[in-house]
Amino acid sequence: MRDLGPARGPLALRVDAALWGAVAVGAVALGLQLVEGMGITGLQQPVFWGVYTINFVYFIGIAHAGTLISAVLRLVGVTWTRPISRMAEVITLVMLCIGALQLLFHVGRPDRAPLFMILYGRFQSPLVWDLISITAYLLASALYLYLPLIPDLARLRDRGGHVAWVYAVLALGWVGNPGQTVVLRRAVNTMAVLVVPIAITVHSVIAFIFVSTLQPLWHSTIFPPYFVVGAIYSGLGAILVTMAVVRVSYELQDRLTDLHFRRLGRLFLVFALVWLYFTAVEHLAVGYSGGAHEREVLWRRFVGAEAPLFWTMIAANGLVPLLCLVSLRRSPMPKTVMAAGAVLIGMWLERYLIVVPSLMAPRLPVAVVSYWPSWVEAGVMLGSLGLFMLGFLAFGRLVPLLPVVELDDPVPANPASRSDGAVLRIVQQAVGGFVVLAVLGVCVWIGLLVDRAFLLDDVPWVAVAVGSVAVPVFLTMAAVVAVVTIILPGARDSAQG
Amino acid sequence: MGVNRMAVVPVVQPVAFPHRVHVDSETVGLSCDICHAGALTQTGAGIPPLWLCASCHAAMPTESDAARDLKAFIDTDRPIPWQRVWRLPAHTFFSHRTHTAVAGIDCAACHGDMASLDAPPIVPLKTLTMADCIACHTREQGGERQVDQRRGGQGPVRPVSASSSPGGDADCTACHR
Amino acid sequence: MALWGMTIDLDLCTGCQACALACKAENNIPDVGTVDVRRGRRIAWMEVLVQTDPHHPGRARFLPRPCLHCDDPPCTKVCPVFATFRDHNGTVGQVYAQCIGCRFCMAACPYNAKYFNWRTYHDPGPGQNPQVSVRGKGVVEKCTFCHHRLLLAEDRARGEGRPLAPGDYVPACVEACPTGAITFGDLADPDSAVAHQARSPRAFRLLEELGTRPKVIHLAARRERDHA
Repeated sequence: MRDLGPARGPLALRVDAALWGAVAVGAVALGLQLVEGMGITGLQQPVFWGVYTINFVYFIGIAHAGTLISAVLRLVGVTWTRPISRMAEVITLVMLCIGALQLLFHVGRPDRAPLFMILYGRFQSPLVWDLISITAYLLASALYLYLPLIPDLARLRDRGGHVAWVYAVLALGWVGNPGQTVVLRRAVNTMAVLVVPIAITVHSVIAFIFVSTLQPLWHSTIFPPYFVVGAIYSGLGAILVTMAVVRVSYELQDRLTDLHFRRLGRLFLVFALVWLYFTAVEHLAVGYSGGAHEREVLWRRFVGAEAPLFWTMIAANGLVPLLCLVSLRRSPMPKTVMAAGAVLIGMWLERYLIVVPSLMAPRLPVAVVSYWPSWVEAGVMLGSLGLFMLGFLAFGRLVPLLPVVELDDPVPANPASRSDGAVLRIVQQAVGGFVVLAVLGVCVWIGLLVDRAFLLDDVPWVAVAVGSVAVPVFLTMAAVVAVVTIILPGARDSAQG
Repeated sequence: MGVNRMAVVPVVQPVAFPHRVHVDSETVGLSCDICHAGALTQTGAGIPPLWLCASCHAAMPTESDAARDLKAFIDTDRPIPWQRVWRLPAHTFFSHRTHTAVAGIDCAACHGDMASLDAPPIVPLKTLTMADCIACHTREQGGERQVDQRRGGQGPVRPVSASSSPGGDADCTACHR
Repeated sequence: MALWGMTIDLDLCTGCQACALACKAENNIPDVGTVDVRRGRRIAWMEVLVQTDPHHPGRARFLPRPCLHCDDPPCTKVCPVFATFRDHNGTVGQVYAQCIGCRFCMAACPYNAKYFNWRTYHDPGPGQNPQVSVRGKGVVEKCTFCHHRLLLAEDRARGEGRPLAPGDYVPACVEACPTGAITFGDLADPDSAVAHQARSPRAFRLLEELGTRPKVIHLAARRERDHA
């Protein structure tokens, strides 16, 4: 196992300093925005949704790939993704937090927004669906990251040292005996099954934010699946770049081999083609027989004001990946990383082209001014990216980025590992109990909001529909947490046959 | 919403005005709107101007500290710097006239039993929240659908009355314009 | 139950913008400054839109556009916190104290009738209408059909012990229009002037195909008027 601990060396310090510098820039920009108002951004009328909305969609999109790599492929029995799965899950979790934060930067009253949406949320609004689905995805991906991590945490616990007790709490008394293995495997499989529909729901719901309006090109039934495909596409790009960086900086050529890049590159190619298909279909449908106003907006993309951005996007998302990925026999890593870099840029452009041009084409003859993001939005984006990288690196310094125990499977139970004392057990169960109570609290909250929808006669059927999907999902996750924190520590002393 | 925005910092008045002496029918017997002149006719009830106090007190003997303080203000013709006790948040509109003259609500319903006070209140006698306003407004509605009183009307309430009839209605924009 | 609505006769409209100015004065709409206006951040609850046509140079159409107070409002569907809603009189209200500034309703409105406070443009002070809030930064606002005037009129009527009479409640723009192009009243009352106007063969609803069922109905001009 690679030596973990704070990174040493001048390069690491410089990287850290740069990242914290980026975060500081973002913090200053955000602080000014909180004091002065949204006026210091480039937002205006009619483009009142801009970089923050774009980044919200973009970052949460990137967060989806972890689910695909670690959950979907695991469910269909693919094993070559095992080394990548934890990295992918870390990207998911951190990017999800950063993406959700963008919404807080976007609203005009962030001092009110979280509390008001919790207290007064109404189910007819896709933003409330967003709140629920992102909460569910956060919990699900945190669980899905944590559960397979338990054996590695046990290894770290067994190494001893100052912080061994932290690992001991989190490792839930894991020794790897058959009783524990069965429980953990069932829990992981349950989460693998659960996290996939949650992930699909998250980006579909984000698409619904656009679909539920009447803006030209937004009111499109293709948006939810299009957003999901685009999310996975950009996420795969992020994973490929991360894999390359981790392989080089941790010198893991033997674990993250050319095979992985080749296979992931092929998957990437598949998604490039799927994305191209969706893009072609969307534009064909509108261009062939869409309304006059919609066709006008579309034409601006092909030959008008947005043409440079549009064709750059097609090149970055379509042409470059196809050229790079068509033959991966030789040097797959540089080719896939190049494709991934292009896609990361291209997908941001795609989100931009979704948000901004439709707003710049109002139906009535109102004054239209071009949208130019200001330094504030750029600074906040820089800070967000810096925060993401810091989060990822922090994970890398605390837990192994590659699933060690899983890869060296099977590992015999280690009878020499320290026994979990009673205090430790109480702490574990208290933490588990706290999480379960929090999740039950979310279910109660959903119930209260549904009740209020009936009371105010505010489309109660939507409330019931959303609630009846969300509550069972949360309850299942609460059950998984309960089972794992209660049974795992207890099963350590059970018979090892 | 549901958060008490009224003055919670204790307030000290420059003159220790006793409501009871002035309101009690056996002594002076003033009604609220004699001094708070806008209470029946305007949005804000107002505080009496110095000349109103002087119209009685200029010629009266000063028997108490409060009367002596008042005399000092009258003699030097300085307006008394009364400190505000009842305060609604800036985003809330309230008309005294609508509630007193039109709806016939007694002052004590919201302000409490001011007539019993021997000294100025340092905090409002009754702390009113939005829930209290809504409770009264929806009770006056009638009709099949009432906002559930259990909640105290917290949060936004969509109006449930079919008409803007006497008794007002829980129309958000009536108070939050 | 009244259904407050408006008709705007484009044949009578001269594009003088008295309605827009009266609205600004009545509703404490801030002067955002020329810099912000050039950036597109004007706030104009009642806005006179000007439509020109490259095939008819030198001519323009004036289209006064307040909030259209739709009967099936797209904006109320997407508000996450119930800050905008359709009240029992059909008027679409906006509660600044509740708004979190997500601008979702702005995206949903096909008429661009909603505006955002990009800064705190002004504080409460003398010279403003005390019946209307002074909005701070970060909240969305829009035409309210001068709802505060309805409350004042109802107050007066209630105090005088009589029902609300037509002409008691008149928004500022209606009052200010020098040609009487704007008629306001109860669309549910078939005898009202506004209902009569709404039945005119020249009447049309803006963007009717979207199904918003607006209660501001425009009357098409009988002939094109030269641009002044």
